[in-house]
Amino acid sequence: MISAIQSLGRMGIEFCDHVGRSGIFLLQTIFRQPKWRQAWPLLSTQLYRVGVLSLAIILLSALFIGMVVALQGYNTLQKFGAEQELGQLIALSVVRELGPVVSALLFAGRACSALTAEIGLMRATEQLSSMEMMAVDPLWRVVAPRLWAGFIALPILTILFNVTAIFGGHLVGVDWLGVDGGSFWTNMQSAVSFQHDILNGIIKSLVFGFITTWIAVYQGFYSKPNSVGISQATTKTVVYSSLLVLALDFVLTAVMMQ
Amino acid sequence: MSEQGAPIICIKDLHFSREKKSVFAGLNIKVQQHKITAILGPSGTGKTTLLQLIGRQLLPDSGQITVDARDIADLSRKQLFRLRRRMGVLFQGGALFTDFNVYENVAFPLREHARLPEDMVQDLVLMMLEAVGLRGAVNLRIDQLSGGMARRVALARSVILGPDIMMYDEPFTGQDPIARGVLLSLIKQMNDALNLTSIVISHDVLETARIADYVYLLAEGRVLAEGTPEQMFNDESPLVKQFVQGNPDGPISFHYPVKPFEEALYD
Repeated sequence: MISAIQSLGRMGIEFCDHVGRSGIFLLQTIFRQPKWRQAWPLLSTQLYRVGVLSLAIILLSALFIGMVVALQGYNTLQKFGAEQELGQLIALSVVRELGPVVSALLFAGRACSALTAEIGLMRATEQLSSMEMMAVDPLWRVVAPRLWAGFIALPILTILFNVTAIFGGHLVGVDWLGVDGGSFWTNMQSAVSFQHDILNGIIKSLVFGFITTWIAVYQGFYSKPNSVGISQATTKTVVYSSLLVLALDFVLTAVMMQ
Repeated sequence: MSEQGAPIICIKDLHFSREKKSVFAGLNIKVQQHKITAILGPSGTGKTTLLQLIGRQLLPDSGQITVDARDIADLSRKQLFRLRRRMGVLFQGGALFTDFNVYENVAFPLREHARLPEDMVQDLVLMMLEAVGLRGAVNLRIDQLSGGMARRVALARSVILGPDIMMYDEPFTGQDPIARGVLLSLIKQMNDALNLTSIVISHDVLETARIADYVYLLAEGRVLAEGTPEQMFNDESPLVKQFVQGNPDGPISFHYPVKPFEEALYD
């Protein structure tokens, strides 16, 4: 009994320790004075790695998700003779929920896991230590560009996801199942609000981008410098990011619905 | 101890422990300016930890480390970074940036700290690579280098800013005899030509003694013996003899501390 309480207490202390340390880590990363001359090349390299290289998986997934939503939606709407509302159904599902959430989950699996592994390997091979000893701050040189790149890239990827998913839905709904194209677009246009649907979705993706990349760089930076440590950190990044994306999606949706 | 030149690094009564295990308990070391000081000791005595403490990547539990008579624990972040610019470290594995090629690795400190035109950066990088015999490897990727080449590239990178102090962490480990010989002569030449102060951390007694001016032997968290390489070779104490001659039996046990095997069998 005592040992159970002890381990519970230890877990609580470790949790508080991690939260505090990750908060300080984030503040130190964000508020480092940037060297403007080098900032853009570093950021653009990371934007390419986390953003452009994630494009294929995001767009392909979006296409199939849009097609599946169109198929499922058409079957249900047809029962009520409301198949003309298919465009509205696809747009609202994608823009409000599927776009931000699925993009963030795919981003966590593709880009964030790579960030953690990369920084963890830099720790294990003493690259971060050598940077410190060369009077170069790894928080500024390594962590900050990756954090900002994730924050910027995910909303853009989400917008592209939304567009591609709607295109996939159009392919199935209009081109294959024969829903009227005019009704598809008109109903969508009248039902989707820029502020309440599109903007809220982008706000969600901004939050998700920030959280998932923060977890990724933190886990990588503090990973144990060996192969087991790096694999554990990578797993933690994907698990924590995915869970937090889903939990925060509920919280943000509840706030935005009010 | 040879008193030529002033000590540039002083370590006084240093205590440091990691995960409740004592690494140093009252360590005292003085590193003379413009000399090569070797810090020798069996594996696991905390030699690499000592380099991290000198570079303030770790902080001691108690005691003092001074560089140029300034306690490094009192330095602000800015002052610490200024001090680190005067230090070069050759890490055990080289610690080269795997994203960059040889040229970009050597140019890295210049690009970070000196605003030089690209043609001057190129000249300096090629000059450094020429000094370590790798100008021909300027465009190679890091994964195309052998272990010895990687260390020479790392050496070029660590001296390109003209440091006052060079620290070498196990520079000869895992090197073939030719690479070891090349590294030995490079360390000696760099120290003399650039007027450096060098600290060589190693457990390779014979090789290190060839270039060292002064030697410290560490074991059990403190200095067991010190002196010139000749004094070390002539030392009659059993511990120094065991380490210098590489004997398996002696005061330093081959076995990790454990109760006798006979007792363990009857438990």
